[in-house]
Amino acid sequence: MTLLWLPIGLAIPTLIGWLVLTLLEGKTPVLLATERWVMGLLLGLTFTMYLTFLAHIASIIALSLAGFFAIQLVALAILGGLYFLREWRDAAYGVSPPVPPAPSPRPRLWIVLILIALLLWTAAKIILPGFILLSTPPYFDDTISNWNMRGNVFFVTKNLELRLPTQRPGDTAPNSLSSYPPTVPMAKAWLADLAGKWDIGLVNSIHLVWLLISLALVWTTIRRTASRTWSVIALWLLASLPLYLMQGTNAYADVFLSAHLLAAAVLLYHAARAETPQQRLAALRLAAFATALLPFTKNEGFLIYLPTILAVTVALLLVSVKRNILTWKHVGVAFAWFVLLILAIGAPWIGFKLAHGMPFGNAKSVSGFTIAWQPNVLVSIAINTFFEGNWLLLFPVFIALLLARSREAFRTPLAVLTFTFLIVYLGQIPLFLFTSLSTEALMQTGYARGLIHLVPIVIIIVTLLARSIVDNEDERYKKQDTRNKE
Amino acid sequence: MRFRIFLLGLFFVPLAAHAEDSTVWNFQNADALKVWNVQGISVQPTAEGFHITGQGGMIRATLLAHPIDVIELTFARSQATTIALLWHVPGAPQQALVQVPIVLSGGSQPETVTVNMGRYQKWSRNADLLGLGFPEGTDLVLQDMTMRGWSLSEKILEAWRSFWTFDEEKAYSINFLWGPLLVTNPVAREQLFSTLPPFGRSANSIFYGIIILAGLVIASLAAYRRMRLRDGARHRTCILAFLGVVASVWLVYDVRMGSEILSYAARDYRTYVSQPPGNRTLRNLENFYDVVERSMPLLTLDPHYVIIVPKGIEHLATVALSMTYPSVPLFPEEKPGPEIHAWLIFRRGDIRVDDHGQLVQGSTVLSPPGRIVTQFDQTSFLFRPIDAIVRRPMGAGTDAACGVSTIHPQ
Repeated sequence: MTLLWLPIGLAIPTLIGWLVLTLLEGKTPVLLATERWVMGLLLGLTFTMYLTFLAHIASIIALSLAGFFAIQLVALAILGGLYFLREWRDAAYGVSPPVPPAPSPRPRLWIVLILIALLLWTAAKIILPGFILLSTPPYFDDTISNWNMRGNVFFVTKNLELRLPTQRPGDTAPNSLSSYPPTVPMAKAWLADLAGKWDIGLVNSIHLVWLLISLALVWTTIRRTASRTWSVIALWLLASLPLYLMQGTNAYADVFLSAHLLAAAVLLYHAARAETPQQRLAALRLAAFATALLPFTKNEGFLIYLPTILAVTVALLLVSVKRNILTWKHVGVAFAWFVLLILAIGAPWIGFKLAHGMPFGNAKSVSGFTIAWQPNVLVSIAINTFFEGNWLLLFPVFIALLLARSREAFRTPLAVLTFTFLIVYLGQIPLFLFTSLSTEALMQTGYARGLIHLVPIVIIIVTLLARSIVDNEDERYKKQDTRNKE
Repeated sequence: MRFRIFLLGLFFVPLAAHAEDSTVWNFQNADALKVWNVQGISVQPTAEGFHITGQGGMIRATLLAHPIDVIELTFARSQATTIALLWHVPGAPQQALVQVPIVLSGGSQPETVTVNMGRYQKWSRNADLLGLGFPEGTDLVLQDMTMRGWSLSEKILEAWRSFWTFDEEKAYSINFLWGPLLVTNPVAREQLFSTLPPFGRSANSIFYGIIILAGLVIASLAAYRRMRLRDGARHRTCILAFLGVVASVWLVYDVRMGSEILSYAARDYRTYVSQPPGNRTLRNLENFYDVVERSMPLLTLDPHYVIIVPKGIEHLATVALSMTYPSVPLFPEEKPGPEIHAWLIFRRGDIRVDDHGQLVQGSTVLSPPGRIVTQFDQTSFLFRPIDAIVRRPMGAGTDAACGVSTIHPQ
């Protein structure tokens, strides 16, 4: 029965997220209806926790049931008011029609049966380990000593404590100061406040929601361009990755971050696919919102993914101008949205970290590295990527498809996703090869976590490239090129 | 008719005719010593086996009719020591012996050490010399030595079985999963995930082999039928066939790894979720959660309690903290004061209650006088100082909730 607090606790944040996305879209909807709700749930919860954090550090509220609730009601009232104002205004001026999903012809019976079997198998792989997550105490280290511990401390003290209790009360070393953004533990504290007790099943259940969000985002992204068959295949592929499934059915925050990164990258992809300037600008506004929330997820969100998404955005804007899809004025407006939202959401958190002397790395500080070749790292990376059970056949297949379909991977809107992956992946390899971060690769910790964040994006690329082969899109592109020349 | 010919053909296939070959060198008779070249050590044949003392080694010609995959050494009694297993690779210089360490736990009971020789790169299945090396101060009785080898068909079968042998959920499982590993004998399979890193060939290399082979076959067929690269539908058929092979391999791999993850869930259900308090164990932390949970009424009475856990896994205190917060455990080094209500001792055989009712470690007194209120197992218990009992006597309800089973009034 305690689990009933989960949907209750997610309802208002989802609505807040949905309202923010709808308002940012303006008169030009660029999301599928399902996509808007899924992203609303993901981004809405994080955004709500960010607002709560702001109000808390401004000493307006405590991290209590009343505090959480007050912020959500105020946000809902303001956003709801803006929404109805817009509805009233748009009733006069009209809005663009909603985005339809791609056509989905009914596949043959044997294909339907295979797809149903894949979905049932996937459901079993999520439900059974999910049941264990809800009915056993935490086992893995980060769950115990970080995510759940901090959530429990917030719940008990009603305060954003930066130092966690320890068996050695005299320990005041800098590394005992928590450096992580508080979104995940605050969400747990909110659920616990609703239930009135710290219930392990309830506070861990949110991690299953983040796994389902990630799967749903992969589904909706594929559905924008391909049939349901391909959406099911993509969903099965992502859930088939053993390490992703392990992380998703345990109380870790890497799938949570992967969903946020996926949302930001997918919204940029939507912008790249948009046919009109208005649609492209609307998608860019949404991408700016998702990007701005990245620093408030995990430290990697600020250090690695925010700069990457910004770099891809700048490239997309320049290409858009070159192809006469956007004007320089449009570029200025889009860039202003990014700057505004990143400053509004990222800056307070970064300022808070600086003010409290909180480090920016996770396991290690990011400053003070000495540069030297680290032996055995390449072998370790190769084993983790190609010869363990973590990713099945994903990376060899991905590399083969990039080579076989390089035109589509690098010269169509899909390039947004391809470059997001490549910048992050190739950017972090030198860190492992030449700095003391090598232990993260040698011990198979940080390296594999980095891939967890990226694999939903890789799955989308793999699915769309495979689909282009199966549907023989080469011929289609050729015909299209010929027509364009004519 | 074809089926009958097929059945008849089976008689000519030596499928599992020589599934396992095994040779035992028994050392319980004096004649057995004749074939051994002994240096440095003293070897006395006894009814139990060779009584070996001193430092040195013994070696002999292998002279077996079958290759060796596994060697088993049985000691009637031994000491905690590390001896060496030696061999000579045919064709190598006469003095070039290879050796690997064999760790003996020691004791008066017979001990068998099983060594999967395949895990050593320098091992030769047809080694022509085998021997043992002993360090200074050796005093043990070697009872017998068994050499085991398996046929090709049995090795293939074992590789298939090892493919479906799953790891258990461990602390590293959140960071990486070994995936299916292939080994070719039952001993290696039994030991598959018991060492870090595990020994075995990654099944991924087989998968890659299948995919590359399929690609070559399909490409060859296409070339044979003279399909041009842009030959519309037929070219597409070839690509679809290849993608079908990749998808099939992916599916098999998914079933293998998905089954492993489901086996984690099944084990947790069996050992924890479905068990009543007192019988619950979870993964390698065994009954720790159960012990803390049963101690909760006492542990959560006050802001602090003391916890003593085995050395090297102090992390258990953090696990306890996550369960009892806002009550915080303290290590005894923090010099807890008289306000401490409860001491949780987990798997510490070196800590006991002395005649004065105090917790002691050797001659060091750890706590004021008190009593054990719950004994969880031989070396785990919940202890309460008398002062605490007087200050705050527990109600029957709390005692029952603690599962008070063994009370030792002092």
